[in-house]
Amino acid sequence: MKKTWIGIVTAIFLMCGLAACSGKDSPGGTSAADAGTQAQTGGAGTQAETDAAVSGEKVKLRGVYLNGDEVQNDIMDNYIKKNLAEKFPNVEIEWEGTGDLTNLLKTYSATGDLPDVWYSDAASATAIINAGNQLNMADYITKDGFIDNYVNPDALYYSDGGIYAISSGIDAFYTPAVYYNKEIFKQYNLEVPQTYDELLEVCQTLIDNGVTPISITGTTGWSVRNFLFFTILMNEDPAAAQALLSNEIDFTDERVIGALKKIEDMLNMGCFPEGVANIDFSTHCALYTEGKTAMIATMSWSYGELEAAQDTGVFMWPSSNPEVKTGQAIQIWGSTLNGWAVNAKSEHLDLAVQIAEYCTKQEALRHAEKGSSLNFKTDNAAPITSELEKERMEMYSNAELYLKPLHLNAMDSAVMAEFSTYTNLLLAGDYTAQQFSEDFNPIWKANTWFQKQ
Amino acid sequence: MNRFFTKRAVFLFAFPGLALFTVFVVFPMIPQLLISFQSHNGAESTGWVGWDNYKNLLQSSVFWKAHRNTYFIVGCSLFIALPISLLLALMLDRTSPRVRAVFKFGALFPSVLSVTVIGKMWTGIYDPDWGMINSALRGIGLEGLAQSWLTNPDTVVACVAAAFLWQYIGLNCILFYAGIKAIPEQYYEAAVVDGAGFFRASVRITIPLLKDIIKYVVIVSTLGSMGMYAHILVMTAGGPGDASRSVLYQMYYKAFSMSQFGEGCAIAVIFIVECMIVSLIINKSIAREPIQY
Repeated sequence: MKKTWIGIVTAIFLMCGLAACSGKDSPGGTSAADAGTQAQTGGAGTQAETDAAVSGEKVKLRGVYLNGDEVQNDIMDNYIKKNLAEKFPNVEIEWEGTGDLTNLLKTYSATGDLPDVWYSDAASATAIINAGNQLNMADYITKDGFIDNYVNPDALYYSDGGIYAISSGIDAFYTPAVYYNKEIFKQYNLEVPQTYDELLEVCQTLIDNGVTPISITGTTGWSVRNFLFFTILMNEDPAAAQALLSNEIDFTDERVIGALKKIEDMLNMGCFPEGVANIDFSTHCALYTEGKTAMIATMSWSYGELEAAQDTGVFMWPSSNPEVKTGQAIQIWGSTLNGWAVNAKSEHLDLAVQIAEYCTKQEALRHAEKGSSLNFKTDNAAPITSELEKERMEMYSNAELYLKPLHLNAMDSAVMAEFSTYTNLLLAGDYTAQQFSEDFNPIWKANTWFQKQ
Repeated sequence: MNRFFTKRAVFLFAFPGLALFTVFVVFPMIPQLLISFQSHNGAESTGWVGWDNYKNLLQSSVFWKAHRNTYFIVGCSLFIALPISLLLALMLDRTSPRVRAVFKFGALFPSVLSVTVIGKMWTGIYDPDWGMINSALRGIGLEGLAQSWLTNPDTVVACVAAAFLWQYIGLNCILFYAGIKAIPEQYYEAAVVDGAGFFRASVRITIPLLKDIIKYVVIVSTLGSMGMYAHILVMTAGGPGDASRSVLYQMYYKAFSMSQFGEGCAIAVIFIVECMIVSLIINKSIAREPIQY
């Protein structure tokens, strides 16, 4: 008898544990089908909000944001969190900052525990959208007129016609650029290179004088994956870059292999720091700011740190084709899936959309005050104060073709991860462009990105 | 008192621990096992795929490379780090109390440091330009041996293993030392009378009587080495390419980088089975009979 009781107690205890560990369907028990209907009607959550208002209790929401750098932290601390309570006195938001949005959001999505509002990133968004967890905000922001704040609203639409993330649109003005140390260039009588061959000559002179020419990030192939390969390709043949972006050609194309070969050649020549495959982002910046490299090929959002440390000039990656003008085609940043997003199964959909809109507006305000160009219209636009940034924006304005980054706009998660692996391997040496093509092309062929479109 | 220590009492004492273990360790394995038979992108399941995830893994060269790397690190841990720890413990027993105190602090210090700190520190030591190793090699005229340690596929795993093992050699040494101090002094006194020196006393007395501690350290070191992940993430991110991935890193890469949670969970299931088998082998092979002084 005692054994039976012990067995029953044990079973009850374990059942309680199992229940506690099991995932919940959605906050408040809203089913996926209900959430879909709510999303379409745009009327969800009002009852809950009314109940909260009547009872005098604050509506509690959860939010996740990217706290990757000082700019993001400044936006959250001084523009969003600071003013949110005044703007929404009846709302209490539990914020969670993360440097690893992709994995945090995927995990929350898988466990049915997504926050009400979050900063979406392209790497995880497609999986969350396909699971029906990321709200299509098109109807909401059209109805309340928020979409009218955009100079170019088309930039918000995902390929399926929905709007899953709203942002200030600053990404479209970020570009890769080569920043150079004017003092080092002056010391060795170097001119800003106008062509790829001239860039190699500059690098050779620097190498001969014991100076490492160009700093890039090699860990996870960051620089090559994010812009270098694609920038070299578009400066060889913009049409090939466009074709690769739209899956019309693959990695066996001679022009694609040619772009990879240029990276291989530069590596073998010694244009990048020794052991570049293991150099992370902060180290690659430090190499330039501490004067250990003459140039840095990076994204333009880093310009402030660079010009504060060295007398810095800027140029666009030089063309390797006489028929293509340097700066004619440039890569911009971002994806329509980057920006503030809302949980399709939130109990407070209307409110969550309003919070996402507010966060976007505050983000735009911050960027505008700093003189950045945006897709979002604000009344606080300040002129660009940095001469370096002015110079880059002039080059930006003179470009004829703007292409979005390949990895964020043509690769699913698996292909993007493998692209990182192989670009890192390419930077490690003893691995040729031809091998890259042979190894990576089957992975590119298995890409599901274009099947979803 | 005897009745108190019946099997039932043992069960009652063990129940809270067993219950927590079941809820927080065993239960989470169930969904993991189920996901390993599904195509799952991390956000949703797209259907059951039977044994496909397991078949894909067994056909993947990276999966086997990750195993080679993992068991290389386990081998280094068992056949290099553990003997060093034991030797240090034996020597520590013969040193003066002051030296012992300094050594104990120095030995334990790395094991309480964050993996990130250790990873970054060793990344600096291996830096091809200004790192300690290459600087030393250049300093003694062996410049030809200087290289980029962490981007060379032939050296990267050994380099990461060295950082990992360095962190725990001291801790293992202290564990061995504690075991040595528990051995009654009379045994050594008798051995001295019989003419045994340091080496013979260590081999004939210390090591046999340390079997329980050795077993514990071997299990902890083996499973710890098998589960190595953070050092790789900080020092190489699995690179160059996939050269330094361990089994756990490959699991993370599959699940979180590639969004292939089905295969990631399949790796986890295989890994759990491997850990159980390895623990069983160690348990069966070392100190099956209790040691009595």
